[in-house]
Amino acid sequence: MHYHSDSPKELNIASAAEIVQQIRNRVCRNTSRVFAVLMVLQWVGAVLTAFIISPKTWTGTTSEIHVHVWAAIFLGGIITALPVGLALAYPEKLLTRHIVAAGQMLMSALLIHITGGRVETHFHVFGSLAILAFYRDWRVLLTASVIVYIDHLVRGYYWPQSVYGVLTASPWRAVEHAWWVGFEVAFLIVAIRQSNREMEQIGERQSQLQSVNIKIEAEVLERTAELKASNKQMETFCYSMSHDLRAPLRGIRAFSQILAEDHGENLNEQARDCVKRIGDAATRMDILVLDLLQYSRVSTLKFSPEPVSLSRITNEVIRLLSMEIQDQKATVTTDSDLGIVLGHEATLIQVMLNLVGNALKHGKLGVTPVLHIRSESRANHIRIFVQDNGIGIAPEYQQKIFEIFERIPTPGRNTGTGVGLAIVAKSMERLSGTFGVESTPGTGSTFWFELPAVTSVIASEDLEAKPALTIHG
Amino acid sequence: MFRRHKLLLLIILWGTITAFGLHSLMTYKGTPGAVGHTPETWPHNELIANPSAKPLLVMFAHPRCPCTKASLGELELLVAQAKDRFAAAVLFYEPENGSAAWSKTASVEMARSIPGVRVIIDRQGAQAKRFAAETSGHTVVYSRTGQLLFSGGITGARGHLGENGGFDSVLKLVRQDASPSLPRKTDVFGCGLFDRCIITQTAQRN
Repeated sequence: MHYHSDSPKELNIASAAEIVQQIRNRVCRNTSRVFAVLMVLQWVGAVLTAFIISPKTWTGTTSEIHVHVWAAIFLGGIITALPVGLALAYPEKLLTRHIVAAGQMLMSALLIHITGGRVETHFHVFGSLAILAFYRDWRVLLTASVIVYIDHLVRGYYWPQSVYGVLTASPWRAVEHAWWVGFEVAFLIVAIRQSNREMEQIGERQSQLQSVNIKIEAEVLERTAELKASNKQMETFCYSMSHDLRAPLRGIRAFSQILAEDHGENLNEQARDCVKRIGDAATRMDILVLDLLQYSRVSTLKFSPEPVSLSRITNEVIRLLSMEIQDQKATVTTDSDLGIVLGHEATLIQVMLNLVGNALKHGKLGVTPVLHIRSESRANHIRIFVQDNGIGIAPEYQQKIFEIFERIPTPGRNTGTGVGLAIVAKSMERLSGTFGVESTPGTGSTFWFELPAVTSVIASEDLEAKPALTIHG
Repeated sequence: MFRRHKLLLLIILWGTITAFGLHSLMTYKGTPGAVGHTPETWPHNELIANPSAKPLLVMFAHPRCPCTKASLGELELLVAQAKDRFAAAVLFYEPENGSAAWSKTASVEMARSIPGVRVIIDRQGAQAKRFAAETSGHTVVYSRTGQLLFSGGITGARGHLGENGGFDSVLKLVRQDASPSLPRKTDVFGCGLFDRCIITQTAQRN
């Protein structure tokens, strides 16, 4: 398809004339194909007809193959060959259409001969004209009419008896015979002109529609680019702001600590409590800012997915959380080979860190946390589960907890920043993975995420599966 | 440019061969068969009685000639257009050693299906020779008094249905509205009734 292009940035729009030309080409292609099949079939039909009607010619008791049979095979074959060849090689060319029209009319003449001038066979001419009208080109019908006229004129001159049944015939008899062809052609031309007008209207409408579509598309692209730029600015702003917020927080924490340690004896009980609260609040805010920075990093990080060993990242996470595991006297077990997925190692460590950290944080009071990490293969994917025996999550919170700043209200407990599971959700979105939770309040929760499995053999030693691990706090 | 020239040459060649082919076909179809000298008065014979009430049309036919179907088609049309105005008989040639299958053909069946037309097997073509008919489809018409009214074919070309002078003449003769301008003799288009050697022998005897 060819389009105009006013400038490199402008989208291309096909003109109405070009669309009409495309439709014309398609119509010609299809019609030429129809004729390619039809002409071969009618040639076979002509040969069979000749064999059935006049297989042999006789002289007394001797016979030989009838001339009709030879004519059907060879003359019919020659008449058919060129139009069919052109229809297949150059289906859209004007010349092809005219040769097809001429060939079809010559085939009509041959068929009339072969069938012994049967009136019914003359309908082949009229039928052919109707099919030629499929080209929607009136000039083709003129070629066909001229061939019919010339055939009658020449035969009327040299063999008048074969055409008109009389020994001498006026040239006007040819006109009379051609008149009936002209009669049909006239109506077909009217129909073709009407069809072409409709085709032009369709072209005009399609061009307008295309123009509108392209304008809308351009507008959408422009708005999308604006939105992307705005998002980028916002992310950069958030990152900078979060990062810059940590410096004054560090100051507040440091000075409140100095105040408590160096001047604590000069303060009364209430003032010391206030100083402690200032320090705790600054610590919580620092954690929140860190989480937000992490969330922002996950959202903006550029990476290419690579094979990541789930066993390795799990062991790394257990190592990082060993202090907490020991403090809580928790038991953490993992399966021997958790599999290899397509992902990003640092991001997946963060995801696992959040899930295992949450499981340790939300244990039942007075119950030793027991965690089990396992995996399952599911149709080219691997799903990894982090199962705990904690307090569980009520069904109404199971969706919400993955949204940023959403927390389950639990009296007397540190409920976290509400960013950890949002980081899990955002990470899975970035890695084209899925995630979820199955939980029964009071029994425990099983968080999971799923990523594409890497099935090919990874030679790297680093990716090799590690043996099953059990950590007791 | 070279490709266009080649294509043009191909189209010219195609047109020329097709024109030559159609011309040859027309020449073949327009070439009449041999016609002998038909007796001017009804020759007495044992197969067909001399008509007294109506003119009599006799067609000599080869049972296996495909072109004869066109002659029989025209005869059927004549019977339809001039019913009861003439008697008609079709004599099918049967050679000396002809088997029973020789005359079991579509042409014979077609002739039998025409109402009022007698179908007679002409053994060794004795009657055809008597009437000097040598080409299948040769039709003769004799008046009630035994005078030859017409001799020739009733098709315009070999195996070709359609208007023709022979048909018009016969129709008008049997309707008794013939004008002097109508041909009394026309060309006969069809297969040869006899082997070539028989035709030669007959010619030598005559």
